[in-house]
Amino acid sequence: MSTVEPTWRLGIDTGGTFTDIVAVCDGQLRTSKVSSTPAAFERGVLDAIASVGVGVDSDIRLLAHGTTVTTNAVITHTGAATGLITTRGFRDILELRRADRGELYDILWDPPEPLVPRRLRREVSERIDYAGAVIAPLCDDDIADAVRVFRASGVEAVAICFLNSYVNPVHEERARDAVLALWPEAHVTISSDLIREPREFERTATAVANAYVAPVLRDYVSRLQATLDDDRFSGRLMIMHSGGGLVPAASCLVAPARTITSGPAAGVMAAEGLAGQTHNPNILSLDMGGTSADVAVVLGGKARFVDEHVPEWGLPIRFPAVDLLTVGAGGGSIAWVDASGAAKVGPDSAGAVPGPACYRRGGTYATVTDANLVLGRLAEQAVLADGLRLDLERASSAVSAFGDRLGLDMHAAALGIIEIANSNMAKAVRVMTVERGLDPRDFVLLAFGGAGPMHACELANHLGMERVMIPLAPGVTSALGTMFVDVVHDVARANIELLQHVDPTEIEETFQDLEARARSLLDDDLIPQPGQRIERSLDLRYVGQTKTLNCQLPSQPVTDATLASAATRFVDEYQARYQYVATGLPIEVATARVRARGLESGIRLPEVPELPETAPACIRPVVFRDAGAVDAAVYRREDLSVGATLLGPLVIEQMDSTTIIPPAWSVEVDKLGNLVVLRTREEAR
Amino acid sequence: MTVSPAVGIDPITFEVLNNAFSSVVDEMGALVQNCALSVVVSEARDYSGSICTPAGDLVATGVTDQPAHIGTIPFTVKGMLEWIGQPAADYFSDGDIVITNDAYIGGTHNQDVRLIMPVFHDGEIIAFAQSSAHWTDIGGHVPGTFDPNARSSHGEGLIVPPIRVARAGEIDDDLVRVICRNIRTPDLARGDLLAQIGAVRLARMRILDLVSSYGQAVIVEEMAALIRHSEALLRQEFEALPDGVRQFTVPIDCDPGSASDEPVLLHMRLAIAGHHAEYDFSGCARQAIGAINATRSSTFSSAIVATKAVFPHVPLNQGFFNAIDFVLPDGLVCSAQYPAPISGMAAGTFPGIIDCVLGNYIQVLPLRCMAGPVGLVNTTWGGYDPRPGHEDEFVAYIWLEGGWGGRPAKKDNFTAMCLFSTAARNVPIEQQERVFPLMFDSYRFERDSFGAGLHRGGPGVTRVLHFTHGDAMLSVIGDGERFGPWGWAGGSDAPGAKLIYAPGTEDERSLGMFCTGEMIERSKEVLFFHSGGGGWGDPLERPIEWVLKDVENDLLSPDAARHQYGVVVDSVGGDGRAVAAEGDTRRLRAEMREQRNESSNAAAD
Repeated sequence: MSTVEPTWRLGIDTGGTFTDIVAVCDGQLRTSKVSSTPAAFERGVLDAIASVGVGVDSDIRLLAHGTTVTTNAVITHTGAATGLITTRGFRDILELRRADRGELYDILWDPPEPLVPRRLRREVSERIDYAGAVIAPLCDDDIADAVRVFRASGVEAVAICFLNSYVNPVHEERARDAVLALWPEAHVTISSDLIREPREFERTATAVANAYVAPVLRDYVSRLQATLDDDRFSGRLMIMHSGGGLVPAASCLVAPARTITSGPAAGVMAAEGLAGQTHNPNILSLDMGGTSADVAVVLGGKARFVDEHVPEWGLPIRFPAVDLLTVGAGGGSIAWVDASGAAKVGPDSAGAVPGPACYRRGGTYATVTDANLVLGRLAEQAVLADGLRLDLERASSAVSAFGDRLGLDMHAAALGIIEIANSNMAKAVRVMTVERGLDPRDFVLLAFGGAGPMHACELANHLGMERVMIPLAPGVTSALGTMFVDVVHDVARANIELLQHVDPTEIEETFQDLEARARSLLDDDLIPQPGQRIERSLDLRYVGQTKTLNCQLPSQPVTDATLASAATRFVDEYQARYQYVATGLPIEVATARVRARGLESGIRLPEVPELPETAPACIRPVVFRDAGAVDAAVYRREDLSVGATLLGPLVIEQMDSTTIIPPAWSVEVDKLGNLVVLRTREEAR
Repeated sequence: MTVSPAVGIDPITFEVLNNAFSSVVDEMGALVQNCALSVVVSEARDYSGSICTPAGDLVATGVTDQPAHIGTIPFTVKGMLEWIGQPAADYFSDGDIVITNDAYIGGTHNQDVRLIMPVFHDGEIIAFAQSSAHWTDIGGHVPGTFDPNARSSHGEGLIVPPIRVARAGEIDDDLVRVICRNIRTPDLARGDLLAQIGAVRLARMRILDLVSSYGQAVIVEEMAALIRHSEALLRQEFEALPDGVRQFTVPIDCDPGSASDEPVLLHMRLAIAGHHAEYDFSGCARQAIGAINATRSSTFSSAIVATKAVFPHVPLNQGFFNAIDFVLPDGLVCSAQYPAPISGMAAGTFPGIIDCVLGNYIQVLPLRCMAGPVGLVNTTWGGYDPRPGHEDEFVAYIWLEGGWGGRPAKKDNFTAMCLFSTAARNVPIEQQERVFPLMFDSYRFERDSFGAGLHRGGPGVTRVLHFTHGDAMLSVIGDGERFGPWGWAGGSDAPGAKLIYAPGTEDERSLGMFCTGEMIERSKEVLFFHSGGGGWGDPLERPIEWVLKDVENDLLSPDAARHQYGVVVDSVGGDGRAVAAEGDTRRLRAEMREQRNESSNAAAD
């Protein structure tokens, strides 16, 4: 993120219902939300661009796009017909999975169907041992048989995963060549191209997901590119992935599985971008929408990563992914009372249809949104993005009915719903912070999504946090997130040996191999050398463990000192997370990783203009737990001027979101238009 | 705010703290999984973490915790309190941690090692935190400690009664050395022990954090409320069931210590009356000579786990125990008396008791139940690994998935699980081949491996493996070779388990479900088949398309389609699609029905 150019950079995030856009150019920032067009999502993208008044043929440098097409393909099982080729004797690895269950005790629970049915999982003779030695040669006739069955069955994409290919990929590579020789138009994914780490199920699942979505992504991206080209688009189209980076449209088939669930990752990257631009290096991000809330951490200005993400139970995608946790707490989460009188909120959601009781679409259960309406936090007159008006009467009777079962009056019941929903989110926050050795009180809570700003301060109270930030346009934050990211490729290779036995020269060679591959990917992306950045890291563990911690290395040749400092970092991180150190156990290297960035000149968020001081639009009673019903001033977000400080209780309304500032909190608008909300005195929990 | 009678604390705080407690136990589980050294714990998740009241009543357990442990945990804590023989607050200091694996003090088998830490606040014990994990080896006669030839618990490895492994925060290294010296894999044991100590210390810290936010009185009251809440929920379920008495019997193949090959019968009588449920196990066989026995705590645990599977929404804590009246006299195979051998409890009695519970409920609540699920076969393989960089003793504990039973509420069962309601997972083949000197030749669903039915069971699974460097010694305690998982309502039983040495060669022989120190020669294959689930309902009622789909997927042979389902498969096309011969199928199904009527009439005569 070096220079800022006087051309447009667009970020567009397509979801199932809305397509969000953020457009930035030379001190201007425009945002909008249009309806998505599921029949042909590219039309919604064009609609979004038009809605911010930017011509497709104008000076657009970059269009960064988060898309839901691969997510949908996986969730609805409507991806390409896919065939799988495995080592003989092992075709069921995809379906056996890890032989565990999503619900430990529920007899009626079923796993999702595997993406490739058994008859399209074909075995071939070949075997490589744990050390990479060929034990049995690859049988070409078996490959030909598999291809015959696939072609007869209408298969479009082929995944190949052999045992121990992470050590020696030669058979997978030969098998791929053999398939393509017989069938040049097939899309073929081999697992070793994506991952060079042990665990055959995870590698198979990733390869299968990759093959399964590849034709879907290829077709969508080429349609979108063609549509843009028709309108004389001259910039670059890039696709967002779950690893918190972009990949140019032309390279989107390098690892299509990475584009599954890129939207939530983009939200976290917005938090990373805002961490930099607002000089708040430690941010806890909360993206709360209609059905769920995503929680993530930005530490020292950087988002954190884990080694896989799981878009559906039993389908791990084994690539570095932004570390986030989703819980079933959203505006639509249903409040209910169990058979012995305990109050619960979620995880079932009323969704958009029938929706909360106040939507008048047939929903009768009290939801979090109904509770917010009853407490005066949402305005009865509020009009939602799709023109919907809320019905206070229906919300009141739903919340009262819930309260009657508990012996609570309506307001106490509504406050209880909010408190339980917040405690569900607090549980996720504890996983992301306390369980990782972090103290939430050291963080700013960045709340966005439709419902986040309404819950932020009370959630912060619950967690002992004192600072909250609400971005300028909370409803389009995922689109904003695509503004701050670079082109990112991740390559890795298992390198299992005791740290004390690692020869710096040898591991240096491994890193250089990985870097050469990463740079060639960036070269393919037309990223010039000076814009290429290489980050190295090692996954370390105590010998015997299977879980690792990732430790960054400097991008210089590896020396004994580099390895020693990695060991120190490992022990420190281990101590912080697990509260003990396994003194005397040797440390083992598991994987060498390289993250290659093609730097994109980022954006600087423009400063918002100063405005004359304004009076509140109105005053309305809002109910809080300790204060009861109090009069709160209601402001329009766009009327608030930079620098003005206001004291809660307050309501701040804008198109796609409402912010609640409880008593004992104050709010100030910073230069970039973010609401900076501070606790002014100690609250009990 | 008001008080809900079942909960006894304001309902909002109740749920907020419920979330907080589950955070604590889940974090314990994550720590043990991430930090343990043996793959049985880290990859296969054979562990649990929990919080108990000062009296030893179970309050909370985590989402990945091994169900087999869960029900025994309160017995471990209560057993410990009895063992120390004086008030816990006098005996313990803040920072003490107890270690025990004594199956006869509320345990399962000696491989399951428990760490228990009192949580002190203001000089008072307000809770116990506990972490359990299955150690791959706990010493004894054979690698992995599963020994059907043991005639006493003293032949089943080291027994550690509840003693302090840490005092006032200091770990007793001498004691740790003694324990590890008795174990074939001392480094793994030490690493797993440190992770478990880490977990109970973490739980202590988190519980004290909660006390500082909410006050001791609220936290103590919440623990009691969680227990009352579960009991009330479960009693309501009983109330909704018709009053009456049912019973169910399942066989264990045999007593491996007895010359007789008579099956060992497990029996349960379920009596529902109002909101009371009595589980009476008096009809079970006497305790066995061989190691298929279970202690009382194991039997409670399996009964609780099976009940939880029928009523999954009821949180698993002491309230579950309180809602059930157990009748379990001493000296039975499921209430063995010291020093009877018990290492095989998880393969024989534990799954058998689960079957008894399910078999009773399937008569009362069929839509929430299934036909017989697969049990467990424990295999442990040990020896010396001569590969460069290894050059040490190894012990591999390998279990195998199988199918669950057919369910009237669902089309079929697709579950492939290690053991009923276990949180355990398989260990990746690539990890096993890296860590142990062996190679797998297959790991797959087996054809014709499940009980037939309108709703069929999940398929069984076969593994084939051989050792690549040196010989290995195999010990096995399993079950279900003679009696596969049971079918129900006209569905058939699944075929039994198999363990075969050198299949398809002149050395081929069956190893059976009980063997001790069997030498497995390098490069000789061992085939290990574990059953699918039992079928539910009449196979002749199964829609033809469902049968054909199983044929296409090669889970069912055309032959079995004909003999079990009366479906005549005409052809399997080049695209793998199967087609039925409609007329032949109709005729065959009619014939089979007629034959069935004839034979039942004959039986009636």
